[in-house]
Amino acid sequence: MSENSSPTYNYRVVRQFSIMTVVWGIVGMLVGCIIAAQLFWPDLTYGIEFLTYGRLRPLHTNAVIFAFGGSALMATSLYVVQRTCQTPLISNALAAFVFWGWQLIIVLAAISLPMGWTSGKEYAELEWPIDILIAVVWVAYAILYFGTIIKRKTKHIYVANWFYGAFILTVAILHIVNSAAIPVSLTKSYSAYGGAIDAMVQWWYGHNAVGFFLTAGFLGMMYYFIPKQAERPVYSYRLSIVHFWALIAIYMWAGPHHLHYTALPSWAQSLGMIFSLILLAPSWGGMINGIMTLSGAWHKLRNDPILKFLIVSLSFYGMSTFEGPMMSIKTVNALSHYTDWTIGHVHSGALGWVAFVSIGALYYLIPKVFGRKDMYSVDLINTHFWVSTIGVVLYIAAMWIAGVMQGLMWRAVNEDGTLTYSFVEAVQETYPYYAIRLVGGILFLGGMLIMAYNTIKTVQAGPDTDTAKEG
Amino acid sequence: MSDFWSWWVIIIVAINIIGCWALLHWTRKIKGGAENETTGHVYDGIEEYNNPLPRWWLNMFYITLIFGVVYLILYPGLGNFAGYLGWTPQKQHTEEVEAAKATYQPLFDKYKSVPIAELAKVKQATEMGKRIFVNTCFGCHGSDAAGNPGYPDLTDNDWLWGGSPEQIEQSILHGRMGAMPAFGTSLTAEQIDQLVNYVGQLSGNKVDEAKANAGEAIFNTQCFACHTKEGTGNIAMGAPNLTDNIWLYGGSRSTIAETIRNGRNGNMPAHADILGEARVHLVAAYVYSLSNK
Amino acid sequence: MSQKQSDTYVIRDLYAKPEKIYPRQVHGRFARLRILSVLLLLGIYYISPWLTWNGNQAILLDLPARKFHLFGVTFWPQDFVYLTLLLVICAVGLFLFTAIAGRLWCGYACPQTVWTETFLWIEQFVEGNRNKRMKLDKQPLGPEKIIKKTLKHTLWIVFALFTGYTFVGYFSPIRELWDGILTLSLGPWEWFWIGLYSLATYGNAGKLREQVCLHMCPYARFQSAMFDKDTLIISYDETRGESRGKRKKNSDYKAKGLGDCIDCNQCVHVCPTGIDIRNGLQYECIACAACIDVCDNVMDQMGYSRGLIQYTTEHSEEGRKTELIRPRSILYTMLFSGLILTFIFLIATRTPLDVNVIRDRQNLFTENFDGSIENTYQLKILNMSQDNHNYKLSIEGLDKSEIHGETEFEIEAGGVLTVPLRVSVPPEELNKRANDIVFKISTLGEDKSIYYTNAKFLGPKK
Repeated sequence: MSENSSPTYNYRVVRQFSIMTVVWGIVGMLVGCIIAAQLFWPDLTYGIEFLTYGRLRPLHTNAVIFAFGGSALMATSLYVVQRTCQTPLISNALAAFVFWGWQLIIVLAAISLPMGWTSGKEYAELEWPIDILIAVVWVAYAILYFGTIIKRKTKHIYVANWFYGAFILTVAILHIVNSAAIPVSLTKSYSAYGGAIDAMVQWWYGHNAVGFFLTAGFLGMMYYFIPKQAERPVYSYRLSIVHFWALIAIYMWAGPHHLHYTALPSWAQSLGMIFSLILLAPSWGGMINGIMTLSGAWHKLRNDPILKFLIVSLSFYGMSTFEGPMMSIKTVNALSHYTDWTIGHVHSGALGWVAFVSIGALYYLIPKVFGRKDMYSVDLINTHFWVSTIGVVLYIAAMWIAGVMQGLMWRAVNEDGTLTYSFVEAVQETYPYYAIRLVGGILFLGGMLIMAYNTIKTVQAGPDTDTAKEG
Repeated sequence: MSDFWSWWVIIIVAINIIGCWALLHWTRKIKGGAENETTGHVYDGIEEYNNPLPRWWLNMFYITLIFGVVYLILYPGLGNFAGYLGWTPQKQHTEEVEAAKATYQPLFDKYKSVPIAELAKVKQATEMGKRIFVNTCFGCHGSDAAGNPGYPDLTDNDWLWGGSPEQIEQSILHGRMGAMPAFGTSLTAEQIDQLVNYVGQLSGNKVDEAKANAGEAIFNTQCFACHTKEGTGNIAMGAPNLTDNIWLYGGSRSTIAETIRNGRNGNMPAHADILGEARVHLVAAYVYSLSNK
Repeated sequence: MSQKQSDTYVIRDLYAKPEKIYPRQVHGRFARLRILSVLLLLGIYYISPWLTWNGNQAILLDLPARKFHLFGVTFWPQDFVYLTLLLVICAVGLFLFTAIAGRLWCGYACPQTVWTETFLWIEQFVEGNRNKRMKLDKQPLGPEKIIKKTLKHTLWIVFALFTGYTFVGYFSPIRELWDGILTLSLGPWEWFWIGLYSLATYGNAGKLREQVCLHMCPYARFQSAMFDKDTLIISYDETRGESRGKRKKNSDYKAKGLGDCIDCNQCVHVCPTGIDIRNGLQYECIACAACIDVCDNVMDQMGYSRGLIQYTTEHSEEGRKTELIRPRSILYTMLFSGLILTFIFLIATRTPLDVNVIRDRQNLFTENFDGSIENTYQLKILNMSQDNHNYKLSIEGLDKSEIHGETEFEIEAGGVLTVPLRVSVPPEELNKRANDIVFKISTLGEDKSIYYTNAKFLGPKK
């Protein structure tokens, strides 16, 4: 149980992934700001084909989900698995392979997507050679992770590791099944599935990417860093078991709610809807466990910006996982689907939950793995918190209301039943919202730049001798 | 879906729902330490309590499960079982169409028996006709109905198929097919040029007299059947009037030559099935009002 | 540091029924403030839909017609950008007030608090004070209990139903709604929303109460994250109060080593979330100040000075000055007032007119016999005011342009008119492929407002 028996932990790979999380966060969010600006100034990039909206948008999603989110998950999972299993990673060479392999994939994505080489599947746009590379690196990651768990020195497996484990295992299956394709050239392939089945496979993947990549993985992060930073025991061990199993069993079903009122058979749509609703309780289980863990350390919130990031991330998690099931109800979906409300919902999850919890975790992690007691400046963490909170508020308020406006305009009819507005009129009315959203996005990006500065200063300072010993 | 897959779906849905129920049930009783005592596990300094959860969380879970089961009884979801309500998207669509008809049809019916010439003076009717027009017809005739090359101007008083209210309504209801045959194989380039001069002369443009005269001879053997000897056209077959200097496909020499050489095919689609008679009546009134203020 | 497993072998239910909290009624400064706030807010809520303006319901959010009437002004979906601004103002306002005064919102203004308070009044009216209520609940089921419980729930349900009815009255004319209820002739959606909102009121204010604040509400969490050392919090003065203990009035308690706290537990009894404030700041605290009031009363009775429990800040607890003016509060105030000014400016300068220009796309332009260039447009003109108006259309930005089509028209209040028209321009006026053209719509008559909208006029390549 001693915290000092850790001389051989592999922190190198954790350091590498931590730094790259910040880097890719900035890159991904910058691209996001560019495409947000393109919606306001359609001619922003002078029609240069590599910079068109259609090519940059998948670059944005891939960069923030897989480069930023992926690096954050790998950094924290490889740290947490060593710390909680009290054993170093099984292989440093394998760890290096995972790191460099993942970076190579990201670079290839950053080249191939602007080139227009895409399989056309949302969140799985990368072409087949890169898909194969992903599969290889992911399997290496799984071996590294589960291998470390197997030779753990503790009796039980800590709950954070279940979530990380579920994330690693499921993403492997999702990726391999959904990316099955018939190549026609090095840069082009066609999906192995056809028609409605292809759509179903795609959204089975797509929603589980949300469920297992963006939820289960980050819940793992939450389960380590919140008790650590708050210095409180986890509120309920039993709750973590119950909501873990319920969550992973039910998330699998939720995909069809992306395909309401389409050619997908009705039975699949119904199942997608009811299981999305059933998902509410398991999702909130995680939120309750996190918040109640903090309950004994509430006064710390006043002064500890890291805890602020973590608690606000849980609030957003709670709001998004309430909004999601509501939007999966067919009647609500008929209004919300295809509008910017969806974009608002996704970003309340992506910025409010995923990014906030990652940022909080990194502010804890970076000084630890670089041998320092704290970040270079706690005030700057505070500034980062406020800047990004205002950014998120602007972003979500703008997109949510824009979505409602669009939904209302699209469905408005004249006295004789003809549509009152054409589509382009709704687009024109969305301009002011796009401006507000852009400001929100820039603020959030600005927060990441503050974080980068703080990180550089922390790393430059080098390990201070007291904490270095503790490891 | 075959029976096998139907049962497959039913069974795994049941396993999932019952599984959730069972999970909640099995994990409900905690044996061991009292509240505010940790489980005894320690991971990197993190301990675990086993605090009780708020009861409403459990109730919410149960309510969503019950909702799911009820929904699956009422609506399709369990494999081939169609659901107690027999709901299908097709049925919902039909019902919504019926509901829309019930809402809007009385408004259309109100004007259905009013003659077009009278209707053209009723603002509500022409506004409705205009809205349908700018939705359905603007693609070819332009939003302002002033036409485009190949698609006639509906605001002037020049009509290919006749401008009476009945003829306009007929054109919209059942469509029109205008065919100008190609003469590129039967006439030489020189003869075509002569015809162009003659046709230009008919509309009062300055042309080469000699060529026009030669063209008239050709016209009287090849073209008169449709366009009549005077060149005033024939609304029975949609042959345009060539004397009014209004050109459906363009009035430049080269365009007229091209028309003669390659022929033209004009196609006004029938809208009886697309819009229904009541709405066609309104569109006809609107179109009629454009040239009969 | 792991605790030892207890020797006793216990079996517990994982899902604890929340222990019912019986808040005692309080009198005092802050209680009066809250009663005032509750009455004011509920008054606004229940009276607003009944107000009329020029013979129409003053506040009516007509969703099917997509028109939102507010005191003589009609807002359209296109105006929702004001709503965005309003939301952002609310968010920044929440930041500002929370940074300065803590969870003011929770304690005095949140609907959850306001309706819970009202339901508690009803409960108190029927079942009596705290002790009586506790006794009644412990009592076996008998005539008294049945009568009181039935009465309470009936009153709650009636109140909840009226709340649901009022809610729907914001969206559907409230007087007709009443007739519709009496004749049972409402549509299914109206029944559904009245039912849902009533159920939510009943459930939240009658049953769930503090559970919502403790586990469900994200704003409670947000607000806590917005605290700093200068934020107002409710705090028990430990140095003065400890060690707590019972004593006789006028006894020399200090000699016995006792502090000012007489350990009467009143602060616990009045707490709507059931905490003991003497254990320090807790996330459950909604800053309602009931404990301050009750403790002040006790201090008065004991003849001690007030303020054993009081509003304070962490800095002042540490004996430092509370900085009301600090970078955060200045920044928020600037942001907050700036946004409000923008909002007022935008609303004041809003023209109740909107014009969308849609250029015909199938044909970039048409060249006329005389060489002039023509473009065709559809103008969608929205009269967003509550009166009929006549409008005149003209063009600016392109010289010698000519409109073919109607240029003067009447649009009824709330009407959308489609105006198809063709604009022709002599070729020498066009020096680019895409030229800027401005459509100017002037309102004729008393209202002289003018609306400009930009569009493109396409010509041949030069």
